[in-house]
Amino acid sequence: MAELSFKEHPTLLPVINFNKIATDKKPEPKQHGDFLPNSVRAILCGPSNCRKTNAVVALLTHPNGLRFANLYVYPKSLNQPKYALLKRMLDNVEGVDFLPFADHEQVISPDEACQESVILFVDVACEKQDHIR
Amino acid sequence: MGRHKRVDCFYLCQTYTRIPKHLVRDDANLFILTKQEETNLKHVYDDHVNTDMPYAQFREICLACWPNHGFLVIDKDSELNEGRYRKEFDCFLTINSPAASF
Repeated sequence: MAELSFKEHPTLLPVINFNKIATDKKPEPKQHGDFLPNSVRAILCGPSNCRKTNAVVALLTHPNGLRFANLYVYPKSLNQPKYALLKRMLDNVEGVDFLPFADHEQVISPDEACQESVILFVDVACEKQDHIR
Repeated sequence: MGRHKRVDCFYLCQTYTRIPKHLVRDDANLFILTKQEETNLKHVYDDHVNTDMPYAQFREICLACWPNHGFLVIDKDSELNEGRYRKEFDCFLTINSPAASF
């Protein structure tokens, strides 16, 4: 393959970052722990029994993980022991609500959720998806 | 979607391609990938990784992350060698092309 070479023109037209000038905003305070972005739109992918739920429970329960006021959960089955564990843990935290959806009709769009919430959609990708989209 | 109210969404699935592409896959900024088959992995690579490294290197990274129920994390909001690729959440990958090290 031929080697690329760039030659700077004597007349310049530099591109600076206008975002810093146009927005007077200070950087947003960290919403979650250091290992997570401020807004999380996450996909956890893997076969069954590969501990996807385990990874989410770690994020929900560790001090360096997610910070939230409400947890909405739409699992295939609410009988999974990990959701029962989460409910027990969150029932002991004042001001934090555990809000499971038992069926599709109850599921809300992320825009309808309360402020500072986390929503888990579990293995619902092949079912009716209008709210999930 | 939901980010103005500080709502964070997690989609747990077995097959990457069965997640709606335009509103979920294309908009996602955090990926947690446990051991999975090649077809799924190739789709994730084509959609989110292909500008960072060749497929063979990505696959090698996945294989290094997966033993003992481990997983690869891709944080698209982080810079390449500052936490974009991680073994689980807290072990950052440095990519010194073509070899990678944790």
